[in-house]
Amino acid sequence: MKIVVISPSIRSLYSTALAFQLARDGHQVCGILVRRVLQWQRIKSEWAAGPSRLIAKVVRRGLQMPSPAALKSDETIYAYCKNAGIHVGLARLASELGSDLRGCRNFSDPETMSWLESKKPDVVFFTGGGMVPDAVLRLAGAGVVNCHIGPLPAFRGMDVVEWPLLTGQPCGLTCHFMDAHLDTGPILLQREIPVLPGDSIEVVRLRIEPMMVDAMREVARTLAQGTCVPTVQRREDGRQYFAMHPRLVQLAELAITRGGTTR
Amino acid sequence: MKAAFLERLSTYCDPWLSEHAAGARLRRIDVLLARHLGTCGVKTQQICIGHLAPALTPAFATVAARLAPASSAAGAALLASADPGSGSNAWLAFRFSQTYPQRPNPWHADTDPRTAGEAYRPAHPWPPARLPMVTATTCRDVEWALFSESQAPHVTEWAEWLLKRLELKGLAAGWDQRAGVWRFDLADALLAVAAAWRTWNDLRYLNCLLRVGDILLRAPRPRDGLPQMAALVCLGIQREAAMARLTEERRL
Repeated sequence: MKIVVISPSIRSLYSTALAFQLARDGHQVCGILVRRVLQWQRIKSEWAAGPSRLIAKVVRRGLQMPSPAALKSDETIYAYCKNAGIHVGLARLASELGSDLRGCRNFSDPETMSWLESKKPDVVFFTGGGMVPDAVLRLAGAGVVNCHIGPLPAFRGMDVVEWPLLTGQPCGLTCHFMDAHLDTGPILLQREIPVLPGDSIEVVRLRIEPMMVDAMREVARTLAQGTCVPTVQRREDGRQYFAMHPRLVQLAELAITRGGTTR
Repeated sequence: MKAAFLERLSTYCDPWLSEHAAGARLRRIDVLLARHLGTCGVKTQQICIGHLAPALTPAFATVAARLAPASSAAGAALLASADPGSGSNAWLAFRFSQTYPQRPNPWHADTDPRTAGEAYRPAHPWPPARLPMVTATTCRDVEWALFSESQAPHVTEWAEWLLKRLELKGLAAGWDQRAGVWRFDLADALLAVAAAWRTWNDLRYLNCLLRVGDILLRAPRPRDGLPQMAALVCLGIQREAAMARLTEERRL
């Protein structure tokens, strides 16, 4: 399949690992679209979700500084990349794969739209960077696939690792086609995320990233084989969640301490 | 009739206030809030004594009295309408009487809201998505509708809209730093969200109270004075009580 990968940052290990693995699986990664990080609108919207979150994100992803938990764990995207033999960044990988790497301020820039149109992808894989406009969805072949780190349709929106923990539900990830609304598109694949006693939320989140790469690969495989059966979501089946207050996060942590859920 | 009203109110917030009245956390927040209000120059004593459940008031009143001993007409009104053990009643009665002085007040203790509510219909058509902004009227409507079983299907939709509005707009755009005011009546909106939290026990609403409340508590000297400050007191106590209860539940 001809695939375009949308990335939130040139330094994203998730995007790099996904593009690498899709190419390894025999797909043609014909383009990689990277949304520029340093732009006012994006910083403003991330700041609104929580200044401390933004700072942590910049430190962790922007400067590629793994947290102490990430350094200890062998289930992180860092370990995944190492084990898969991924030693290059996204720009170098694009060059090695012969993929057209493009930076953009917004997905709806006219130049970006014509670039995407020229790629004629069979499907687009989204690994972050904000809301995707309708016009992009229409140019994406079969659609834009996103891997949401919460179980859909129940948990839409933000902090969907923390919210299931707080409410006593299993954590999960969901690959789905994006549509005009938030996390409401047809579901393609779901996987439960193991949560063990003694885990922290950070450790659970770190565990998810490599799982997301493999889940997206699985979606690409089934789409290519024509065996993928999307399940339509009803909007009323789920609720939108927002950034969780640190005091509720503490309670969610407490829920893990009291007993992991799976594995 | 009064008993029925009180029973209905008892699902509102008073059990939590009473249950946690002796908690150290609440006493601490009492002092914090009183200091905050005193710094803002608000005549806190009257607001708080009238507004909060009696069991909560001693510690608060002591601090508040030292900081702001002066009286005010509004404070007296609150005192007069306060029903023993019912803080929210006083607040709602006060807000309603300010906005609709000619209408029967559903929040007075001798009025059954199920019948008094007939005289008070939401000013806006459903659904709320048509409304351009959160306004004081819409928020009172939510408060009212939460008590009105016939409105239940609409309330969910409206409360969801309000929550989204507060989460997405309230935090980022609602606070006007330069003017030191909220661009819409956030205090009322928060009370509506608090009512939704108590009614449905949905943690998303408590989360909203905590997040927006953090900003409110840090806010420098709000200019719209008494109503917002009273709401702040109410919010502070409610969220602390809710968190205390939730934490206790999780630890059991």
